[in-house]
Amino acid sequence: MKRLLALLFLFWMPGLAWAQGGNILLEEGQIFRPTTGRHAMVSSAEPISTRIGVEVLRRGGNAVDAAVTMAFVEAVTLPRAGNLGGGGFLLLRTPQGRIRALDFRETAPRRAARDMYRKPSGEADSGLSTCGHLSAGVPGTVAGLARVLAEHGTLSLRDAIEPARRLAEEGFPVPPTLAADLAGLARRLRRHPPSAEIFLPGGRPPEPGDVLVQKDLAWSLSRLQDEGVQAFYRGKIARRLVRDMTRNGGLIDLQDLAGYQAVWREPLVGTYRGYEVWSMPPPSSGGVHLVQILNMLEGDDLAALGQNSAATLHLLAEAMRAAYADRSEWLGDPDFVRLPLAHLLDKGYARDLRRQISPGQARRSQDVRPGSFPGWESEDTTHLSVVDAEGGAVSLTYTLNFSYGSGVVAAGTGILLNNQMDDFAAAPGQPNAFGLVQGPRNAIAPRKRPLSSMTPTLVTREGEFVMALGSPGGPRIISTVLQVLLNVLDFGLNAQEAVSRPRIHHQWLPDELRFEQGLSPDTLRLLERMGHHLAPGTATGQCALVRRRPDGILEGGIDLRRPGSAEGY
Amino acid sequence: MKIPSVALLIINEEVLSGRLSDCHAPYLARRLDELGADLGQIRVVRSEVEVLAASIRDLAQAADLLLTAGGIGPGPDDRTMEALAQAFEMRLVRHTFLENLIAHQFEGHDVPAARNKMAEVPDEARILVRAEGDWPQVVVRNVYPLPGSPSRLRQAFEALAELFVGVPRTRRTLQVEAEEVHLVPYLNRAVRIHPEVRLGVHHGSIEPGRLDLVLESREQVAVQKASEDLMGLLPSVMKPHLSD
Repeated sequence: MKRLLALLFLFWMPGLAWAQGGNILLEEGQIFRPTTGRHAMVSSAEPISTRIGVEVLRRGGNAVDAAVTMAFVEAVTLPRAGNLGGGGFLLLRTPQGRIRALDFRETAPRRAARDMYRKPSGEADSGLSTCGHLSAGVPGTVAGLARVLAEHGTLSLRDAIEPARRLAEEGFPVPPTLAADLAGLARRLRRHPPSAEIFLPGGRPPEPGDVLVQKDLAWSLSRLQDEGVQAFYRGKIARRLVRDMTRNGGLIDLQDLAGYQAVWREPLVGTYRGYEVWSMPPPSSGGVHLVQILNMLEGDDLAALGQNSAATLHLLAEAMRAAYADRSEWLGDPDFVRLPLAHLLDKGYARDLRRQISPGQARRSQDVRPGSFPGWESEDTTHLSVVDAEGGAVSLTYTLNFSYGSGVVAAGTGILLNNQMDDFAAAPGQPNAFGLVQGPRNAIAPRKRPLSSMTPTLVTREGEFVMALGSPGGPRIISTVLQVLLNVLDFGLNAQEAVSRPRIHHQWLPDELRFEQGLSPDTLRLLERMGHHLAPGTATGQCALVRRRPDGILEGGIDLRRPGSAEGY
Repeated sequence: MKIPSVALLIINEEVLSGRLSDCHAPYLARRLDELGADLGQIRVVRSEVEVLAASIRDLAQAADLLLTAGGIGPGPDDRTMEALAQAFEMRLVRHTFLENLIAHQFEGHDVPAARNKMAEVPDEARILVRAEGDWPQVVVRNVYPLPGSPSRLRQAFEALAELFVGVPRTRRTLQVEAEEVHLVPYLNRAVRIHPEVRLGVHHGSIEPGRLDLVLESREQVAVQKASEDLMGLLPSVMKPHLSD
């Protein structure tokens, strides 16, 4: 039976390249074919979710309906990052062209304190801030999804949750990546019996193709269907969450949950070569630094320098170095600290920074100010991009922070909890493992949101939709989104080509230029000669991109560094 | 759902003199209809740069997508690229990629000057490469110049077909035995009740005294309803019946 289902699953998977047929046209200089469609397009890190998203659109749902449905589905089918117990950010474009930004990032519980993760010796105790109940912030995902659906969707919350509930109730065949993840996490999950019960059925990690049923999660989802968002923040789910917290030394209480609000924020906007680049304002650092780096690059003819040429990569690395230096110093939750946003986003400031970059000569990070270490964020976030037939678009990134968050499932809820508290600077004023000082703007305070790098992004031209994109990757989200964006806007690459090309990353400290496999050794040699400290890195990020070509066709690209799919019609 | 509007520009002297009949328009019109696009006009012109440029400008503005047929070979009479450049105030440049492609084809031999003409395209042209290794598709803004050879034109068009996907129309044909004048009051009423359905009257190839009434819409249900209503309206002496 299990095998049969697995087989069905294979046939159900969206056809990628092989379905495209013989008579293929590709822009000169490109080898990867994007998914194309005239009307609507979805790109996500989880093929079941993509398929369901397209189905919602086909049946007349809009981009918000599809995105919210998909986000609920991924809470079931992509437990690594999809979630009900975490948080994230969402950017949307209404069919009329209005851009809005929703912040549903977790908040620190009201009993959280600035020094809660410090050992008596004063140094940060990363064990406490990453594992177990104490590491969880107040989850925002349910509030965020419900809010955007109510204000911009056409589906009821019940209908948007139904596909997810069914997948939790009836189960789905475990894909090989999930099986491998769970095998690797088995020890951590065993520490929390409610987690082990779900993800290690019969005491063992599931085999690929086994059907993973999540009854408790189905219960939580059907409570949301019956009682609405209240169930999570005041009702039955809230009570189970808090009971689990109380028993295990967590801080989140009923008052924390009842007080949680997803908030609309003024979207951050920059301009780049005639395009408007919209992204997330603080408490994400993503938008600020994306725009800041674009400002630094606007004066250079990147197209002439060439995609992934040594000259281009040098310029990118130096611009990243400067921006990530600023990130560590200046950013935090705007509800709690004043941020010099206007200054950071100023084109004049960017020109000053650009002038400090010399061609062919790398700087040392210690010579680049200001200074502090950027908050570390795990890579296990996920992004989805949706565009509908009416010009509506959604770019949504959400996460549990680490893969599978804190590893804790609150008993009786099936909901994995985040460990987002680790995104705060645990020991401001104290040097961390790298001998650097963390920014006090990102210190823990009750109800405060920790700094993030999530960068859901929309690009428009004179208000018309151009593309939606985003990526997981912790601090490397910003550099990933940046390079994919340049691949489209400067280098004219199609959606699939743009997300596929190798990328680099420089985050100021450590002072190294991380590169993915696939760059030419000649290019690397040139960069080394300029003084860059090269560090080979694993594949990073997974950009999910949807764009509208000048000829009106929608292109979907999904970064196949990890499983995922793009589909449209 | 947006229906792509399309215009078609046929570049062929022989058609204008009546010595040949065009075969591109019937093929493309039928395919565009099947795909659900909206072909708004077909124009036939001679291969003169000024005339061509004016038509291109005009049609490219009137429609979302413009297909041109012919005039892209190496001959002296092939002026579509030059006209495209003029129409959009672009420069005609020799494209390195196309030049290399030609050089590769003539490897070891001198490239005839005439062949090199095929590397000349407007400076903002996009070059789409075919997997099959045939000559690339050049795109200038919303204009897709197709070759004049019927088999190549068809192949080139099919590779672009996805650009033209809209919503196909549904049609129903009623045959009646009546003079058109006598039909008019009934037709007017039908049109008033079903404004979303287009109603055409054709004499077609059938015997005199018989007419085809074609009902057409992108909404399938509407066509169905309109044809039933019209059947009900028409007096039985006209012997209305569905022909397909």
